[in-house]
Amino acid sequence: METLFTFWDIEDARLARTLLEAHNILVVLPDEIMVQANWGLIYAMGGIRLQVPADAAERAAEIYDREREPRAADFAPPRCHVCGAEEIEAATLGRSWALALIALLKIPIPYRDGYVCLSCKHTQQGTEKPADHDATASGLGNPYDPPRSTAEPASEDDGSEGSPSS
Amino acid sequence: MNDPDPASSTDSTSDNATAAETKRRPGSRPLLLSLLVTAGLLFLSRLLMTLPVFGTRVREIGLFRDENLRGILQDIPGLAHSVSFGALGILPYLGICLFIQLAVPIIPPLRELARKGNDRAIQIIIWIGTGMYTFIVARMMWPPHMGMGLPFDFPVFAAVQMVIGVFMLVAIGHAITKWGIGNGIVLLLAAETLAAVPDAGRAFVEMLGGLGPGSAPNAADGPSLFQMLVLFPGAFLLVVGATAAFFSAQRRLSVVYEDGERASEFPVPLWCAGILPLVAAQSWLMFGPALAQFFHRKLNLPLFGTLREHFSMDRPAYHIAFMLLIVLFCVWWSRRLLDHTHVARSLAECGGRIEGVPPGPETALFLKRTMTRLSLSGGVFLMLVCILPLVLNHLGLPFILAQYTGGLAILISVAAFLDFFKQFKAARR
Repeated sequence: METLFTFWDIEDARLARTLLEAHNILVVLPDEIMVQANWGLIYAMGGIRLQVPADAAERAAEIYDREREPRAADFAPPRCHVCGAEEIEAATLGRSWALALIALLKIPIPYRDGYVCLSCKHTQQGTEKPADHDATASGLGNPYDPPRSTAEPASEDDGSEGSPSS
Repeated sequence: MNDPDPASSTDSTSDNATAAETKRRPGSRPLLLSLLVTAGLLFLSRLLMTLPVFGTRVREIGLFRDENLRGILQDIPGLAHSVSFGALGILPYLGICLFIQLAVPIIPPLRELARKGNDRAIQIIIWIGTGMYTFIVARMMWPPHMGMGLPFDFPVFAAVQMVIGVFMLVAIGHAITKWGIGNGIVLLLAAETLAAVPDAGRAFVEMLGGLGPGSAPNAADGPSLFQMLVLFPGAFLLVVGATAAFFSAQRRLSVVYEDGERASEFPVPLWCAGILPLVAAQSWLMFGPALAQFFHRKLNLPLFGTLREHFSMDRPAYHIAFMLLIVLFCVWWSRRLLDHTHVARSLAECGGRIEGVPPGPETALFLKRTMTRLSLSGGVFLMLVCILPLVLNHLGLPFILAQYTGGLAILISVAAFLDFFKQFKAARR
């Protein structure tokens, strides 16, 4: 097996594995369980390695590069509610502070899901239910709201879970 | 952090602080050679743990162990019980790494370094921080009168040696990761944790010897043969097996892609909070009574005195609160460690979606709910593992043995060995 990538976030490593496995490439995350056991060891361990068979490494790198291109069709172009800029990024507001406080002082604090505008630095709490987004003052809705033309029909609150396999 | 090799990097990765770093390695090494390298380097690390600091005489080391270091060293599990090059182990490095890991998203210059993929600069900061931190800790261990009459400051000389010892151990850990099997830093951590096993074995044999014919003067107070030969090994094996099962258990969500031809799975672990809820619960239960005592003294309110009394370690209220806090923190941590919005967005960017769930915000909501439900069972398991030593102790098993049926050490060791064997199996392919 050959180490192809090193990740600094377990979710990214798992997402990459999901992507490569969809192309029938065998993927191993040899550090997955230890990071799961102690999240604070990621930097000390030198990151989370993603390994693939040596003969599939070139193809895996190529697939990863190609498939990570953002698809405009999946999400509406995200915009800031204040300045209307499209350069915004997903953020869990206060997540860093929450993690730092819990790890260093063991004090849990709440945080919210939202986004940060890279242009005006405005932070906006984002709700997750599409039905709530239309109520925003600017009318722009949640930045991650699916485009109206391609969005799934709004479902009941509990109906969103669908039937994914276990 | 992105790729130091421009040929294999992409624009999409370079803009992301958590993006992948491509590290292509030369061809695979033979498995046997990797195992030998791992064993050899682990042996070298244990040697460093026993090699005394240069310039100290045996008598002086003994004096330190008796009078100055006992309190510090014995409180740290797995630490070498002697003043050696590697006496501090890799703990200073782990501490600095955790600090930097937490600081990167918070401190703008560090965040910028990570965003630009300048991991070499971050590594240099970690090494400098480790050196300074180790020097301060090591310098404080040596009292000023050591080495009096020498033409140089002996405590500084000894502290520098211990800094070199920590650097050498960390270098050994990274060398194992690069040339051996498994993650070297994790194996070193597991080795330090397992260093206490011989003591436990000795205690077990001594207690077993005390149960033999003609030698059981305290049989009424001591453990029975059933407890020693059935209860303890049974509980130990049960906890190891259950821990391995819970670490590996995942709910695998089916992911389908827009072309309709490909399918895959995204795993949501049953127990993704790991040992952190246990650490947090312990801290809270240490902090809470201390706070109650403070207010009891300052305000002289009987309520705080009663609270402090009920939450001392030998009271049921303490254990009930401990169990509840573990479950609570497990759910809380799990929800925070999985950034469901990020996962939902990343899945959509790759053209994938969880089967039966619309992409975007509804996927994020679904992931959040799934994680909460799964982590509840993980929390209950962690609670049982933590409370089992106390239950066994209550049933008559001496605590020196009962402590090996639960707690942090066993959880870390099991996780380390699971990853080691995962990579071992992968290397055999």
